[in-house]
Amino acid sequence: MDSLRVPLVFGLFLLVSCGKAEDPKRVTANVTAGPSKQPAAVQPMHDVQYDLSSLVMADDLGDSLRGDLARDLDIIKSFDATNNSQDDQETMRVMEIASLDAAAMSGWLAVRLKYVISGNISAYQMSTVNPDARTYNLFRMENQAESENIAASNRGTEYYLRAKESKLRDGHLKYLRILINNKWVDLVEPRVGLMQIGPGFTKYMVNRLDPKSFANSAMRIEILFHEARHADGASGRNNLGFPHIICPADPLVPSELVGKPACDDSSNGAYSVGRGLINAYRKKCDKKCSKSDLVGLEALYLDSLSRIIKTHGAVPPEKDASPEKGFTAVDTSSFKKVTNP
Amino acid sequence: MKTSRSILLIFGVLGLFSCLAIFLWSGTEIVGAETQVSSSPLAIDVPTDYQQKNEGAMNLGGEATMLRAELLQARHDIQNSAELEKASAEDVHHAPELILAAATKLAEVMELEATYPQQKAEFLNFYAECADDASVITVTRAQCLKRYMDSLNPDEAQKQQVLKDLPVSVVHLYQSL
Repeated sequence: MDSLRVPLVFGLFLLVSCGKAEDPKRVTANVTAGPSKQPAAVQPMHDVQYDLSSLVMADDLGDSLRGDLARDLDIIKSFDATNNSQDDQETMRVMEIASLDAAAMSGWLAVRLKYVISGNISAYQMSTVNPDARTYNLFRMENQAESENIAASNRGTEYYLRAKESKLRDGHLKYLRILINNKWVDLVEPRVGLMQIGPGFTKYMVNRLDPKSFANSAMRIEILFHEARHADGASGRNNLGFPHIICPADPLVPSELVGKPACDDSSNGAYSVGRGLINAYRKKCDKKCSKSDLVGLEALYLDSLSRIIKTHGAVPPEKDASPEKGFTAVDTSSFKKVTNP
Repeated sequence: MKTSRSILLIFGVLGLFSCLAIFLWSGTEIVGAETQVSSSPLAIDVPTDYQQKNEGAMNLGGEATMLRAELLQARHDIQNSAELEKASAEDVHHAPELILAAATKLAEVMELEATYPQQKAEFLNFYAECADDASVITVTRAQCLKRYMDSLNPDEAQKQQVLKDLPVSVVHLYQSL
């Protein structure tokens, strides 16, 4: 058990680096706001057949972001990423799918992306459940001063990792859940698909003149697919969440990234998924993109590529992306509400 | 009294000459600095025939002067690798805004290139300097190198000559385009 703890803690650190996490110690227990009656828990994901139409957007997202996301999802649902080139094989290998058609691509994402919440985490009622003690509490996390540049963060994996940590620490599982649109979502597996959208998601654009442009959607879609990869892997294989590594001082690594947790040491990590995605979109963008758009998408493609570490020019190894099972959520209707579970 | 006035006059004249000399000397240095910015970088040389054609074109006047000023501004705007080095871990997790801003600037230069094809050497010079400049983000340098090669269309030997002097990280990204 102890041997798992170090990689888990390190993995959590690197995942947290994807977007500054709220400090779990800085919570406000027993907040009076929230439902008096326990709403029904959402079914675990493996019991339900998901597609992108099932995506739940939190009520507080705002019309503008909601509109952008809806447009992006429509594109994903109809976009065939096939380019009839060697790149296709590479992207299919990375994502472990047999086709790059719209159904395969959107299906891949739907398994890993199910809930979208806003950057204002304090707006959400949360709960820690202790199945052994048959208790739970209610609290709200405090918002942290986050960077304006954070685009998105896979909170589902991050919160699942915390549950796993608690189990390793004292043998008792304590897992988190979050109330989204008046339904509890149990954060008991890495593929719970909880994505937090940050200010950078819509703030930065490839095309500033036309915010609704295809190129801007392509950029956001790449971010969603990148974050979705963080739902894969397993702690037993030391790759739960496909955490990034510190960019090493290597001739192939851009010097400005050295020392930052912004690289991958596998050939199928989040940057590889993003690279394949943005490459497919930029290559099929001729009629939808301006020349300036294409230069911007090219920059995004190169940026992702530059973060996939090749030691001595060799392609990095592929890691097993199959997810771990996670824990079983419990019915808390007969549990006692406490201050500190 | 008369002697004192003469001495003051002599020192006054000497002082004026000294000021003039200092002014001229510093002026030369400013011109020198400007020349340095727009000259070819060490690693990539713009072919002489383009330079000669360009010198002819540059004598056309206002349009060329304006273009040169725009390219100098663009060169300045894309020198942002130091800013990226200072960025936090959260800021660099996804493609930073700095990369997008540099791409937008590069696209503007490409648009100018399409508008003023007669100024090819100026643009080759811009792309060469950008590709060779460590203060430009690696991704942008690779993009500039791509435009340089596309515009110059060198044979394989020339191409290898250019690539051998550039950082591996820039060449690796360029070769993936």
